[in-house]
Amino acid sequence: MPKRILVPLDLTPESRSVLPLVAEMARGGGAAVRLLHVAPVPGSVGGIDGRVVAYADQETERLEAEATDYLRTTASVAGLAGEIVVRFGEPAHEIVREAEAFGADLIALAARSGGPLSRLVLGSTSEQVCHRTDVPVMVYRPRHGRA
Amino acid sequence: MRQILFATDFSACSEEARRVARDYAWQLGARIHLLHVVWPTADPTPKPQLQALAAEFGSDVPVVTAVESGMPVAERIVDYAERHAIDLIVLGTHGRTGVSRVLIGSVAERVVRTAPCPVLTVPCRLRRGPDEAPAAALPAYHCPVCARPSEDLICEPCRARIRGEALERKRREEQGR
Repeated sequence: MPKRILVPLDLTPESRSVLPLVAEMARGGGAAVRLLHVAPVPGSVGGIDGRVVAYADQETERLEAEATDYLRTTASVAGLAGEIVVRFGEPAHEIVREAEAFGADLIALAARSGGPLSRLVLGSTSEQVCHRTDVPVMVYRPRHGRA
Repeated sequence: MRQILFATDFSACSEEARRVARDYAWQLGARIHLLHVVWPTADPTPKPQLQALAAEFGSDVPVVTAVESGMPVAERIVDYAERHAIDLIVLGTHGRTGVSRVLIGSVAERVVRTAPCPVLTVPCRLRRGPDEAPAAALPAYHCPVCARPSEDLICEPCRARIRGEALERKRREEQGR
C-alpha cells in the first residue's frame, strides 16, 4: 500500500470525489497524505483606471490563503488528516515536482470529464501527469463512479 | 475495495504493476482478477504463462485468471471490469519513454478514459523509496517455446532440445541416403 499519497485538487467538487477513496487507502496502510492545489501564477491586478490595485505578491498571498482554507475544510469533511500545500504554475508540472519533493508513492486524482474535443486539443492534466512521472497514478473519473 | 483487476501483456513493464497490484490486494484483502487480452483469432484458453503469473501472487492473495479475446484491448479490459464489478484496475505503463509513449501508452489512456472505476497506472521505471532494495533483474521476456521466463530469445533448455532434434533429424536423413 502507498505510504505517501499526493492528492492534487482544483477547487471543483469533481476533484474532491477522489477523497473517500484516498481516505480508505490511507487508513488501510497508515499513509501520509498531502493535499496540493496548483493555482496559476498571478499577475498584478489592475483597477479600471489602470492603477495597480493589488501587486502580484499580495495576490499570491490572497490566493494561497483562500486555497489553504478550502483544502483544510475539504480535508476535514472527508475525514482526512494531511498536509496542505499550495503551489503556483502549470498544474501537471507542479504536481510532478511536488510528488518528487514529497517522495510520493501514489498520486491520486480525479479526472475531469472533458469532452473529446478538449482532450484532443489540450490533453487533460491527469494524462500529462501520467506521462511525466515515475510514480503510480490513480485516476478516478467521477461521472462513471460507483460509490 | 474487494475486486482488483490486473491486466497484463507479460512485459517487463507490467511486472512493476503486478508487484503493486499484489501489495494492494494483500493489504485490502481483495481478490485479483488476472486478465490477458489476446487477438480475436488467438486461442482463448489460458496460457501456462498466465498460470505461472497467478502462482507468483502467492497463496495469501486469491487470484482468478481470465483470457479475453478481441480488439481493441482497452475495450475488452473495461468490459471485463464492468461485468465483474471491479473496484480498481491496475495497469503497467511505459512511463516516460519519449516518442514511443505516443504509440504504446494508448491502451492505458483509453482504459483510464472509459473505465467504470478508478484506474491505477504504474510506470515501468517505478521510483523507489531509499529504504527499499532495488528489485532483482526481472525476466523481461518469456521463451516462446516453453513460456518460462528467459533472458534469451529462446531459453537455454529449449534451444538445446531444438538443436538436438535438428541434429538427430540430419543424422537420420544421412543414414537414409
